[in-house]
Amino acid sequence: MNKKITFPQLAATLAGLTSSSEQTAESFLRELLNLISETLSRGESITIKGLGSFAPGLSDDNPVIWSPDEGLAEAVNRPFAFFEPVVLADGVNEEMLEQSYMDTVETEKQLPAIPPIPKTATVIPPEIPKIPIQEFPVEEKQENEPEPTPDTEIETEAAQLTEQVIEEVPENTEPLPYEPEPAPIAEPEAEPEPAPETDPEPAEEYYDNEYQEEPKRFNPWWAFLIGLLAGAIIGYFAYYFINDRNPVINESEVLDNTTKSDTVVIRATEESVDSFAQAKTGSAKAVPITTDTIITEFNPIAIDTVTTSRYLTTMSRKYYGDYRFWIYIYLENDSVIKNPNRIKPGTAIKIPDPKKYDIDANDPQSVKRAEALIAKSIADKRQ
Amino acid sequence: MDHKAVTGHLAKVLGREAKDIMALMDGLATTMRDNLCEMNTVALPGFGEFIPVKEDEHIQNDLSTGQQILMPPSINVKFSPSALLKRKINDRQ
Repeated sequence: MNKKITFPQLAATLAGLTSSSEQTAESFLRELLNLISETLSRGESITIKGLGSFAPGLSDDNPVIWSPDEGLAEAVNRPFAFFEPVVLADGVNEEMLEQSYMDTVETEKQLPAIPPIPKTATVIPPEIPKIPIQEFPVEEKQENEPEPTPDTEIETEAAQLTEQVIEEVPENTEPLPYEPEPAPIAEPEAEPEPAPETDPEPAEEYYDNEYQEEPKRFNPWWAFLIGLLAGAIIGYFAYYFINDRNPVINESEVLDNTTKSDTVVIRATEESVDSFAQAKTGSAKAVPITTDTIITEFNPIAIDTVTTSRYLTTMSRKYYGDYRFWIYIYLENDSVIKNPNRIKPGTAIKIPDPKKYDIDANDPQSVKRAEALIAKSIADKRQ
Repeated sequence: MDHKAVTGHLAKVLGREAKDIMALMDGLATTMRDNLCEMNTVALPGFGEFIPVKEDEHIQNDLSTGQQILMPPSINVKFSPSALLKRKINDRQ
Protein backbone atom coordinates (compact mmCIF):
# COMPACT_ATOMS: atom_id res chain seq x y z
CA MET A 1 0.00 0.00 0.00
CA ASN A 2 1.24 3.40 -1.06
CA LYS A 3 4.59 2.10 -2.18
CA LYS A 4 6.55 3.49 -5.10
CA ILE A 5 7.43 0.84 -7.63
CA THR A 6 10.65 1.69 -9.38
CA PHE A 7 11.78 0.77 -12.88
CA PRO A 8 13.98 -2.20 -11.84
CA GLN A 9 11.19 -3.58 -9.62
CA LEU A 10 8.70 -3.30 -12.46
CA ALA A 11 11.15 -4.98 -14.83
CA ALA A 12 11.78 -7.79 -12.36
CA THR A 13 8.07 -8.36 -11.88
CA LEU A 14 7.51 -8.35 -15.62
CA ALA A 15 10.34 -10.81 -16.11
CA GLY A 16 8.82 -13.08 -13.51
CA LEU A 17 5.43 -12.99 -15.15
CA THR A 18 6.67 -13.62 -18.69
CA SER A 19 9.40 -16.04 -17.64
CA SER A 20 12.00 -13.99 -19.42
CA SER A 21 15.22 -12.39 -18.27
CA GLU A 22 15.29 -9.04 -16.49
CA GLN A 23 17.49 -7.58 -19.26
CA THR A 24 14.88 -8.45 -21.84
CA ALA A 25 12.16 -6.91 -19.69
CA GLU A 26 14.21 -3.75 -19.11
CA SER A 27 15.03 -3.36 -22.79
CA PHE A 28 11.38 -3.88 -23.67
CA LEU A 29 10.27 -1.22 -21.17
CA ARG A 30 12.88 1.30 -22.42
CA GLU A 31 11.89 0.80 -26.05
CA LEU A 32 8.20 1.10 -25.17
CA LEU A 33 8.67 4.33 -23.19
CA ASN A 34 10.87 5.80 -25.97
CA LEU A 35 8.22 4.90 -28.51
CA ILE A 36 5.49 6.59 -26.46
CA SER A 37 7.52 9.74 -25.85
CA GLU A 38 8.55 10.00 -29.51
CA THR A 39 4.99 9.48 -30.65
CA LEU A 40 3.75 12.15 -28.27
CA SER A 41 6.54 14.49 -29.37
CA ARG A 42 5.37 14.08 -32.91
CA GLY A 43 1.94 15.18 -31.76
CA GLU A 44 0.38 11.78 -32.22
CA SER A 45 -1.51 9.63 -29.79
CA ILE A 46 -0.68 6.08 -28.92
CA THR A 47 -2.87 3.35 -27.44
CA ILE A 48 -1.59 0.39 -25.48
CA LYS A 49 -4.00 -2.38 -24.58
CA GLY A 50 -4.39 -2.80 -20.84
CA LEU A 51 -2.64 0.45 -20.06
CA GLY A 52 -4.54 3.21 -21.82
CA SER A 53 -4.06 5.87 -24.43
CA PHE A 54 -1.58 8.73 -24.37
CA ALA A 55 -2.46 11.91 -26.24
CA PRO A 56 -0.60 15.20 -26.51
CA GLY A 57 -1.98 17.95 -24.34
CA LEU A 58 -2.97 21.39 -25.27
CA SER A 59 -0.92 23.24 -22.68
CA ASP A 60 2.71 23.21 -21.76
CA ASP A 61 1.87 22.46 -18.15
CA ASN A 62 -0.04 19.38 -19.11
CA PRO A 63 1.59 18.17 -22.32
CA VAL A 64 0.25 14.59 -22.00
CA ILE A 65 -3.33 13.48 -21.56
CA TRP A 66 -3.57 9.91 -20.35
CA SER A 67 -6.86 8.08 -20.29
CA PRO A 68 -6.62 4.72 -18.58
CA ASP A 69 -7.89 1.55 -20.12
CA GLU A 70 -11.43 0.67 -19.05
CA GLY A 71 -10.38 -2.61 -17.53
CA LEU A 72 -7.63 -0.96 -15.56
CA ALA A 73 -9.94 1.81 -14.31
CA GLU A 74 -12.60 -0.67 -13.21
CA ALA A 75 -10.07 -2.87 -11.47
CA VAL A 76 -8.63 0.04 -9.54
CA ASN A 77 -12.06 1.44 -8.61
CA ARG A 78 -13.52 -1.92 -7.66
CA PRO A 79 -13.79 -1.12 -3.90
CA PHE A 80 -16.26 1.70 -4.72
CA ALA A 81 -17.82 0.22 -7.79
CA PHE A 82 -21.19 -0.36 -6.07
CA PHE A 83 -21.66 3.35 -5.39
CA GLU A 84 -23.66 5.34 -7.88
CA PRO A 85 -24.09 9.07 -8.33
CA VAL A 86 -27.19 10.44 -6.59
CA VAL A 87 -29.14 13.40 -7.93
CA LEU A 88 -29.75 15.78 -5.04
CA ALA A 89 -32.91 17.76 -4.48
CA ASP A 90 -32.95 21.47 -5.01
CA GLY A 91 -31.56 23.53 -2.19
CA VAL A 92 -29.32 20.83 -0.86
CA ASN A 93 -25.78 21.94 -0.51
CA GLU A 94 -22.62 20.68 1.10
CA GLU A 95 -23.34 22.48 4.37
CA MET A 96 -26.59 20.63 4.80
CA LEU A 97 -24.87 17.38 3.98
CA GLU A 98 -22.18 18.18 6.52
CA GLN A 99 -24.86 19.05 9.10
CA SER A 100 -26.63 15.78 8.52
CA TYR A 101 -23.30 14.02 8.80
CA MET A 102 -22.59 15.76 12.11
CA ASP A 103 -26.02 14.76 13.38
CA THR A 104 -25.31 11.16 12.62
CA VAL A 105 -21.97 11.45 14.35
CA GLU A 106 -23.61 12.93 17.42
CA THR A 107 -26.18 10.19 17.54
CA GLU A 108 -23.38 7.68 17.34
CA LYS A 109 -21.68 9.46 20.19
CA GLN A 110 -24.86 9.33 22.21
CA LEU A 111 -25.15 5.61 21.75
CA PRO A 112 -22.16 4.83 23.93
CA ALA A 113 -23.67 7.24 26.47
CA ILE A 114 -26.45 4.70 26.98
CA PRO A 115 -24.20 2.38 28.95
CA PRO A 116 -24.75 4.47 32.05
CA ILE A 117 -27.23 1.70 32.60
CA PRO A 118 -25.04 0.75 35.54
CA LYS A 119 -26.53 3.82 37.27
CA THR A 120 -29.88 2.18 37.01
CA ALA A 121 -28.28 -0.95 38.40
CA THR A 122 -28.36 0.79 41.77
CA VAL A 123 -32.08 0.18 41.73
CA ILE A 124 -31.68 -3.47 40.88
CA PRO A 125 -29.54 -4.55 43.85
CA PRO A 126 -32.32 -4.19 46.40
CA GLU A 127 -34.34 -6.60 44.29
CA ILE A 128 -31.60 -9.20 44.09
CA PRO A 129 -31.31 -9.77 47.83
CA LYS A 130 -34.98 -10.74 47.96
CA ILE A 131 -34.14 -14.08 46.42
CA PRO A 132 -31.76 -15.18 49.18
CA ILE A 133 -34.22 -13.94 51.79
CA GLN A 134 -36.64 -16.59 50.66
CA GLU A 135 -34.01 -19.28 50.59
CA PHE A 136 -31.90 -18.67 53.69
CA PRO A 137 -34.57 -18.95 56.35
CA VAL A 138 -35.03 -22.63 55.54
CA GLU A 139 -31.35 -23.32 56.11
CA GLU A 140 -30.98 -21.00 59.03
CA LYS A 141 -33.85 -22.58 60.87
CA GLN A 142 -31.70 -25.57 61.59
CA GLU A 143 -28.88 -23.40 62.82
CA ASN A 144 -30.95 -21.01 64.86
CA GLU A 145 -33.62 -23.32 66.23
CA PRO A 146 -31.42 -25.46 68.44
CA GLU A 147 -29.96 -22.35 69.92
CA PRO A 148 -31.97 -20.65 72.59
CA THR A 149 -33.16 -17.13 71.94
CA PRO A 150 -31.84 -15.13 74.85
CA ASP A 151 -30.28 -12.46 72.65
CA THR A 152 -33.20 -11.89 70.35
CA GLU A 153 -33.47 -8.32 71.50
CA ILE A 154 -29.81 -7.71 70.69
CA GLU A 155 -30.27 -9.30 67.31
CA THR A 156 -33.31 -7.22 66.54
CA GLU A 157 -31.38 -4.10 67.48
CA ALA A 158 -28.53 -5.23 65.28
CA ALA A 159 -30.98 -5.88 62.48
CA GLN A 160 -32.41 -2.40 62.85
CA LEU A 161 -28.92 -0.95 62.75
CA THR A 162 -28.07 -2.97 59.65
CA GLU A 163 -31.28 -1.83 58.00
CA GLN A 164 -30.31 1.74 58.71
CA VAL A 165 -26.90 1.09 57.25
CA ILE A 166 -28.51 -0.47 54.21
CA GLU A 167 -30.66 2.56 53.72
CA GLU A 168 -27.65 4.80 53.94
CA VAL A 169 -25.27 2.83 51.82
CA PRO A 170 -27.04 3.06 48.44
CA GLU A 171 -27.32 6.81 48.82
CA ASN A 172 -23.66 7.44 49.53
CA THR A 173 -22.17 4.85 47.26
CA GLU A 174 -21.61 4.78 43.57
CA PRO A 175 -23.40 2.18 41.55
CA LEU A 176 -20.65 0.13 39.99
CA PRO A 177 -18.25 -0.51 42.88
CA TYR A 178 -21.04 -1.48 45.27
CA GLU A 179 -22.89 -3.80 42.98
CA PRO A 180 -21.47 -6.93 44.56
CA GLU A 181 -22.23 -5.73 48.09
CA PRO A 182 -25.99 -6.03 48.06
CA ALA A 183 -25.62 -9.77 48.45
CA PRO A 184 -23.97 -9.52 51.89
CA ILE A 185 -26.48 -6.84 52.81
CA ALA A 186 -29.23 -9.32 52.29
CA GLU A 187 -27.83 -11.64 54.98
CA PRO A 188 -28.44 -9.34 57.90
CA GLU A 189 -31.98 -8.88 56.67
CA ALA A 190 -32.38 -12.61 56.62
CA GLU A 191 -31.07 -13.05 60.17
CA PRO A 192 -33.68 -11.06 62.02
CA GLU A 193 -36.50 -12.97 60.43
CA PRO A 194 -35.62 -16.31 61.94
CA ALA A 195 -35.16 -14.63 65.34
CA PRO A 196 -38.88 -14.18 65.99
CA GLU A 197 -39.41 -17.66 64.63
CA THR A 198 -37.06 -19.18 67.19
CA ASP A 199 -40.03 -20.01 69.39
CA PRO A 200 -40.24 -23.69 70.27
CA GLU A 201 -43.57 -24.19 68.52
CA PRO A 202 -42.41 -23.46 64.98
CA ALA A 203 -39.37 -25.59 65.64
CA GLU A 204 -41.53 -28.52 66.63
CA GLU A 205 -43.71 -27.97 63.65
CA TYR A 206 -40.67 -27.92 61.49
CA TYR A 207 -39.35 -31.17 62.89
CA ASP A 208 -42.81 -32.69 62.79
CA ASN A 209 -43.00 -31.89 59.13
CA GLU A 210 -39.60 -33.40 58.74
CA TYR A 211 -40.66 -36.61 60.47
CA GLN A 212 -43.82 -36.73 58.43
CA GLU A 213 -41.80 -36.61 55.29
CA GLU A 214 -39.57 -39.49 56.33
CA PRO A 215 -42.06 -42.30 55.64
CA LYS A 216 -42.30 -41.06 52.11
CA ARG A 217 -38.66 -41.77 51.64
CA PHE A 218 -37.67 -45.26 50.61
CA ASN A 219 -35.57 -46.83 53.30
CA PRO A 220 -32.67 -48.77 51.79
CA TRP A 221 -32.82 -51.29 54.64
CA TRP A 222 -36.24 -52.38 53.43
CA ALA A 223 -34.75 -53.09 50.04
CA PHE A 224 -32.00 -55.10 51.71
CA LEU A 225 -34.49 -57.15 53.77
CA ILE A 226 -36.79 -57.72 50.83
CA GLY A 227 -33.86 -58.85 48.74
CA LEU A 228 -32.71 -61.16 51.52
CA LEU A 229 -36.16 -62.73 51.86
CA ALA A 230 -36.49 -63.12 48.13
CA GLY A 231 -33.10 -64.78 47.98
CA ALA A 232 -33.98 -67.15 50.79
CA ILE A 233 -37.26 -68.13 49.17
CA ILE A 234 -35.65 -68.65 45.80
CA GLY A 235 -32.85 -70.66 47.40
CA TYR A 236 -35.32 -72.86 49.27
CA PHE A 237 -37.32 -73.62 46.17
CA ALA A 238 -34.17 -74.19 44.16
CA TYR A 239 -32.85 -76.64 46.78
CA TYR A 240 -36.20 -78.39 46.92
CA PHE A 241 -36.42 -78.57 43.15
CA ILE A 242 -32.89 -79.98 42.78
CA ASN A 243 -33.42 -82.57 45.48
CA ASP A 244 -36.72 -83.54 43.96
CA ARG A 245 -35.08 -84.06 40.59
CA ASN A 246 -32.06 -85.98 41.91
CA PRO A 247 -32.98 -87.16 45.32
CA VAL A 248 -30.61 -89.16 47.41
CA ILE A 249 -32.06 -91.51 49.88
CA ASN A 250 -30.82 -90.90 53.31
CA GLU A 251 -31.57 -93.79 55.46
CA SER A 252 -29.43 -92.60 58.27
CA GLU A 253 -32.57 -91.34 59.89
CA VAL A 254 -34.09 -94.79 59.68
CA LEU A 255 -30.95 -96.35 60.95
CA ASP A 256 -30.62 -93.81 63.64
CA ASN A 257 -34.22 -94.43 64.65
CA THR A 258 -33.68 -98.10 64.81
CA THR A 259 -30.42 -97.81 66.60
CA LYS A 260 -31.67 -95.17 68.94
CA SER A 261 -34.72 -97.14 69.79
CA ASP A 262 -32.70 -100.24 70.26
CA THR A 263 -29.44 -98.94 71.54
CA VAL A 264 -30.27 -99.79 75.08
CA VAL A 265 -31.31 -103.24 74.17
CA ILE A 266 -28.31 -103.85 71.97
CA ARG A 267 -25.80 -102.67 74.46
CA ALA A 268 -27.46 -104.68 77.17
CA THR A 269 -27.68 -107.75 75.08
CA GLU A 270 -24.59 -107.45 72.94
CA GLU A 271 -22.78 -110.27 74.62
CA SER A 272 -25.85 -112.34 74.99
CA VAL A 273 -26.72 -111.80 71.34
CA ASP A 274 -23.29 -112.98 70.32
CA SER A 275 -23.61 -115.96 72.49
CA PHE A 276 -27.13 -116.43 71.25
CA ALA A 277 -26.01 -116.20 67.69
CA GLN A 278 -23.24 -118.65 68.32
CA ALA A 279 -25.70 -120.94 70.00
CA LYS A 280 -28.06 -120.55 67.09
CA THR A 281 -25.33 -121.29 64.62
CA GLY A 282 -24.59 -124.37 66.59
CA SER A 283 -28.17 -125.55 66.50
CA ALA A 284 -29.75 -127.49 63.70
CA LYS A 285 -32.18 -124.71 62.81
CA ALA A 286 -29.45 -122.08 62.53
CA VAL A 287 -28.87 -120.95 59.04
CA PRO A 288 -25.39 -119.89 58.03
CA ILE A 289 -25.51 -116.42 56.64
CA THR A 290 -22.76 -116.58 54.09
CA THR A 291 -22.76 -119.82 52.27
CA ASP A 292 -22.83 -120.34 48.57
CA THR A 293 -24.95 -123.35 48.81
CA ILE A 294 -27.82 -121.49 50.42
CA ILE A 295 -27.62 -118.70 47.91
CA THR A 296 -28.01 -121.13 45.16
CA GLU A 297 -30.90 -122.86 46.87
CA PHE A 298 -33.01 -119.76 47.67
CA ASN A 299 -33.90 -117.46 44.84
CA PRO A 300 -35.06 -113.92 45.48
CA ILE A 301 -38.78 -113.64 45.89
CA ALA A 302 -38.93 -110.28 44.14
CA ILE A 303 -36.89 -107.52 42.59
CA ASP A 304 -37.91 -104.10 43.75
CA THR A 305 -36.66 -100.63 42.83
CA VAL A 306 -35.61 -97.94 45.21
CA THR A 307 -37.54 -94.71 44.89
CA THR A 308 -37.81 -91.52 46.90
CA SER A 309 -40.58 -93.10 48.93
CA ARG A 310 -39.46 -96.69 48.88
CA TYR A 311 -36.29 -97.82 50.51
CA LEU A 312 -34.96 -100.82 52.36
CA THR A 313 -37.00 -100.44 55.51
CA THR A 314 -40.24 -100.01 53.61
CA MET A 315 -39.39 -103.00 51.48
CA SER A 316 -38.63 -104.97 54.60
CA ARG A 317 -41.94 -103.98 56.13
CA LYS A 318 -43.74 -104.88 52.93
CA TYR A 319 -42.20 -108.28 52.31
CA TYR A 320 -41.29 -109.41 55.85
CA GLY A 321 -43.75 -107.52 58.02
CA ASP A 322 -41.10 -105.70 60.05
CA TYR A 323 -38.77 -102.92 59.02
CA ARG A 324 -35.88 -104.31 61.03
CA PHE A 325 -35.25 -107.07 58.53
CA TRP A 326 -33.81 -104.52 56.06
CA ILE A 327 -30.36 -105.73 57.05
CA TYR A 328 -30.93 -108.98 55.20
CA ILE A 329 -31.96 -107.10 52.08
CA TYR A 330 -28.80 -105.06 52.42
CA LEU A 331 -26.64 -108.17 52.84
CA GLU A 332 -28.29 -109.77 49.86
CA ASN A 333 -27.52 -106.72 47.70
CA ASP A 334 -24.15 -105.96 49.17
CA SER A 335 -22.58 -105.86 45.72
CA VAL A 336 -25.03 -103.18 44.56
CA ILE A 337 -25.39 -101.16 47.74
CA LYS A 338 -22.20 -99.72 49.12
CA ASN A 339 -23.79 -97.57 51.74
CA PRO A 340 -27.28 -98.43 52.95
CA ASN A 341 -27.79 -94.87 54.05
CA ARG A 342 -27.35 -93.47 50.55
CA ILE A 343 -28.94 -95.44 47.76
CA LYS A 344 -29.69 -93.84 44.46
CA PRO A 345 -33.27 -94.06 43.29
CA GLY A 346 -33.80 -96.53 40.53
CA THR A 347 -31.44 -99.09 41.99
CA ALA A 348 -32.81 -102.60 41.52
CA ILE A 349 -32.94 -104.52 44.80
CA LYS A 350 -33.28 -108.25 45.17
CA ILE A 351 -35.59 -109.24 47.95
CA PRO A 352 -34.19 -112.49 49.42
CA ASP A 353 -36.37 -115.36 50.36
CA PRO A 354 -37.29 -115.10 54.07
CA LYS A 355 -36.40 -118.73 54.51
CA LYS A 356 -32.86 -118.00 53.52
CA TYR A 357 -32.25 -115.93 56.66
CA ASP A 358 -35.00 -117.48 58.77
CA ILE A 359 -36.95 -114.26 58.77
CA ASP A 360 -40.12 -114.29 60.75
CA ALA A 361 -41.67 -111.14 62.02
CA ASN A 362 -43.65 -113.03 64.60
CA ASP A 363 -40.57 -114.67 65.98
CA PRO A 364 -38.83 -112.45 68.50
CA GLN A 365 -35.65 -114.39 68.10
CA SER A 366 -35.58 -113.62 64.41
CA VAL A 367 -36.15 -109.96 65.17
CA LYS A 368 -33.36 -109.99 67.73
CA ARG A 369 -30.99 -111.55 65.25
CA ALA A 370 -31.80 -108.82 62.79
CA GLU A 371 -31.20 -106.16 65.39
CA ALA A 372 -27.93 -107.78 66.33
CA LEU A 373 -26.84 -107.73 62.71
CA ILE A 374 -27.83 -104.08 62.40
CA ALA A 375 -25.81 -103.24 65.50
CA LYS A 376 -22.85 -105.18 64.22
CA SER A 377 -22.90 -103.53 60.84
CA ILE A 378 -23.09 -100.13 62.43
CA ALA A 379 -20.19 -101.00 64.73
CA ASP A 380 -18.15 -102.23 61.76
CA LYS A 381 -18.77 -99.02 59.86
CA ARG A 382 -17.80 -96.91 62.82
CA GLN A 383 -14.55 -98.81 63.14
CA MET B 1 -0.60 4.42 -33.22
CA ASP B 2 -2.64 1.47 -32.11
CA HIS B 3 -1.69 -1.56 -30.11
CA LYS B 4 -0.89 -3.70 -33.14
CA ALA B 5 1.42 -1.11 -34.64
CA VAL B 6 3.18 -0.74 -31.30
CA THR B 7 3.68 -4.47 -31.12
CA GLY B 8 5.08 -4.64 -34.62
CA HIS B 9 7.41 -1.75 -34.08
CA LEU B 10 8.79 -3.18 -30.85
CA ALA B 11 9.23 -6.60 -32.42
CA LYS B 12 11.23 -5.01 -35.20
CA VAL B 13 13.36 -2.91 -32.88
CA LEU B 14 14.03 -5.66 -30.32
CA GLY B 15 14.46 -8.35 -32.96
CA ARG B 16 11.86 -10.66 -31.35
CA GLU B 17 8.75 -12.31 -32.52
CA ALA B 18 5.43 -10.57 -32.20
CA LYS B 19 4.21 -13.30 -29.78
CA ASP B 20 6.97 -12.49 -27.34
CA ILE B 21 6.20 -8.81 -27.55
CA MET B 22 2.51 -9.53 -27.05
CA ALA B 23 3.31 -11.56 -23.95
CA LEU B 24 5.47 -8.77 -22.61
CA MET B 25 2.72 -6.24 -23.29
CA ASP B 26 0.15 -8.36 -21.48
CA GLY B 27 2.58 -8.86 -18.61
CA LEU B 28 3.14 -5.14 -18.35
CA ALA B 29 -0.61 -4.46 -18.23
CA THR B 30 -1.06 -7.09 -15.52
CA THR B 31 1.81 -5.75 -13.47
CA MET B 32 0.57 -2.19 -13.72
CA ARG B 33 -2.97 -3.19 -12.77
CA ASP B 34 -1.88 -5.20 -9.76
CA ASN B 35 0.32 -2.47 -8.41
CA LEU B 36 -2.23 0.26 -8.96
CA CYS B 37 -4.99 -1.79 -7.35
CA GLU B 38 -2.75 -2.01 -4.29
CA MET B 39 -2.52 1.78 -4.33
CA ASN B 40 1.14 1.65 -5.28
CA THR B 41 2.67 4.37 -7.40
CA VAL B 42 4.52 3.15 -10.48
CA ALA B 43 7.43 5.46 -11.21
CA LEU B 44 9.14 5.24 -14.58
CA PRO B 45 12.25 7.46 -14.74
CA GLY B 46 12.33 9.81 -17.74
CA PHE B 47 8.69 9.12 -18.47
CA GLY B 48 6.40 9.80 -15.51
CA GLU B 49 4.42 8.32 -12.60
CA PHE B 50 1.14 6.49 -12.48
CA ILE B 51 -0.50 7.51 -9.20
CA PRO B 52 -3.72 6.02 -7.80
CA VAL B 53 -5.73 8.76 -6.09
CA LYS B 54 -8.78 8.32 -3.90
CA GLU B 55 -11.43 10.99 -4.27
CA ASP B 56 -14.06 11.46 -1.57
CA GLU B 57 -17.69 11.91 -2.34
CA HIS B 58 -18.53 15.40 -3.53
CA ILE B 59 -21.30 17.36 -5.12
CA GLN B 60 -20.92 18.05 -8.76
CA ASN B 61 -23.07 20.34 -10.83
CA ASP B 62 -24.40 19.02 -14.08
CA LEU B 63 -23.97 21.98 -16.39
CA SER B 64 -26.44 20.69 -18.95
CA THR B 65 -29.36 20.15 -16.55
CA GLY B 66 -28.27 22.31 -13.63
CA GLN B 67 -28.84 19.49 -11.17
CA GLN B 68 -26.60 18.74 -8.28
CA ILE B 69 -25.20 15.26 -8.25
CA LEU B 70 -23.62 13.63 -5.27
CA MET B 71 -20.66 11.83 -6.71
CA PRO B 72 -19.59 8.74 -4.83
CA PRO B 73 -16.04 8.16 -3.67
CA SER B 74 -13.77 6.62 -6.22
CA ILE B 75 -10.19 5.68 -6.96
CA ASN B 76 -8.72 7.07 -10.12
CA VAL B 77 -5.29 6.73 -11.62
CA LYS B 78 -3.55 9.85 -12.71
CA PHE B 79 -0.50 10.15 -14.87
CA SER B 80 2.07 12.73 -13.98
CA PRO B 81 4.62 13.18 -16.82
CA SER B 82 8.19 13.68 -15.82
CA ALA B 83 10.04 16.90 -16.53
CA LEU B 84 12.14 15.17 -19.20
CA LEU B 85 9.05 14.05 -21.07
CA LYS B 86 7.48 17.48 -20.77
CA ARG B 87 10.62 19.12 -22.12
CA LYS B 88 10.89 16.62 -24.93
CA ILE B 89 7.32 17.19 -26.04
CA ASN B 90 7.44 20.93 -25.68
CA ASP B 91 10.79 21.20 -27.51
CA ARG B 92 9.52 19.19 -30.49
CA GLN B 93 6.35 21.24 -30.66
